[in-house]
Amino acid sequence: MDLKYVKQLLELVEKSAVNEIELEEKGQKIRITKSPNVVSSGQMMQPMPHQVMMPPPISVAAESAKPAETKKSEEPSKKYHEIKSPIVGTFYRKPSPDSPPYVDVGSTVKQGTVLCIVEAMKLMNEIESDMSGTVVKVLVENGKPVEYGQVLFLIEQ
Amino acid sequence: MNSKMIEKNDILNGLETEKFGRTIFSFNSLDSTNIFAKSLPKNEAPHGTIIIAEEQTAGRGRMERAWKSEKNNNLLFSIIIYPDFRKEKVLLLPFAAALALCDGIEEILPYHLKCKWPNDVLVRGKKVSGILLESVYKGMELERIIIGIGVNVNQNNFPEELRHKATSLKNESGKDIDRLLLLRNILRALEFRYVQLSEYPVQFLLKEWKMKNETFGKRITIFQSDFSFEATMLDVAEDGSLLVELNDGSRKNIYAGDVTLQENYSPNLNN
Repeated sequence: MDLKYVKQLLELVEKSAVNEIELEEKGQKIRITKSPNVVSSGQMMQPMPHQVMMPPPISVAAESAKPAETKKSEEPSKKYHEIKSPIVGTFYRKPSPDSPPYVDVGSTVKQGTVLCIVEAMKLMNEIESDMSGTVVKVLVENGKPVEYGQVLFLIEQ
Repeated sequence: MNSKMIEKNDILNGLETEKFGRTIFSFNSLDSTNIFAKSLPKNEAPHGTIIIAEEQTAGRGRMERAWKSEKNNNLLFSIIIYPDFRKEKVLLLPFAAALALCDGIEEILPYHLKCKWPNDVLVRGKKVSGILLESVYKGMELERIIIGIGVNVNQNNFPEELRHKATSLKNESGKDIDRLLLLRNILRALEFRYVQLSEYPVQFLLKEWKMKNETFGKRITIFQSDFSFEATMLDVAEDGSLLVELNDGSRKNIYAGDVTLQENYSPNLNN
């Protein structure tokens, strides 16, 4: 499987509505999924295109996070306001392990209320609500990794 | 001894920066310089504003761990930054801050300081400073970054439980350090590192940081919120994440956690 072929496959999947494709050819397996981990190879350690081995840059993660996120919020989230993560990192619902969470389902929030922290490289990013309303859903567990653009909270106006 | 409170005019007198440290709020005692920095309205806090205190009554580090410091002996300040660069570069500010501390300290003391991912500064394996970066996002929009810095300068005594991992510049050098000179050096270095990050490709900053890191290829333990795991440190990626190899041979990018070098731990070293 040469690199050109893999590149063509990547482009094909990227442009199509297909989210995942798996191919096996001469004992070599390749699977391409539209997730932050763009490609995972099969049993052969075939050299992969450079971008495949690299951590996804934030901008790429942003694009690839989008399909997943629309899929996730098939519920009536249209009328809810989504609070998304502005960066890749670890999601914290509370300022320290012993503190109560910043907000819970049912909490009333104002514009500027701190909802959570996303930590990356010891940079603690306080995410504030950009509208007033009530928290109707918390979509991520405390301490879990989040992607750029991943929906963290749903707020009802 | 530098036991006198650091005043605004003392800092400005001899300060060699364009913006950093040009607006100063100084206090004898404050809950936390980072909290104050967050509460300041933007029109009162231009880019590079610093808040400095001799004592913090609610000083804290990551995850609200208490940060204790002897009054009038150390440097405790926060600087407010409105980044003029893309978000990916913002994540490299912890590295810029750590390098700036090294620059500022190395001008005074003849040490080669070391860095540990992402923002620890070490003298002979012990921490001399703490950096807490906080950013405020309005939805997806970044409003400001606050870099909180604590440097152990002339503090002699450390609690028993910290002695194996924390030290002060005085403890290491045996002499009193001029806190004002050190602060002005650090502010100049911070401004330089900020401009370097802003105007040049990230590799410039990262390359210098990597030269100060001694953990490449070594075994480390990574502590995350409720678990820890071992890995081999491979590299620091351009987005600032730590690239490690796990025990099963797979590779992973780490964005958050505390990193400990496995063979570095020697609790009864001195003091």
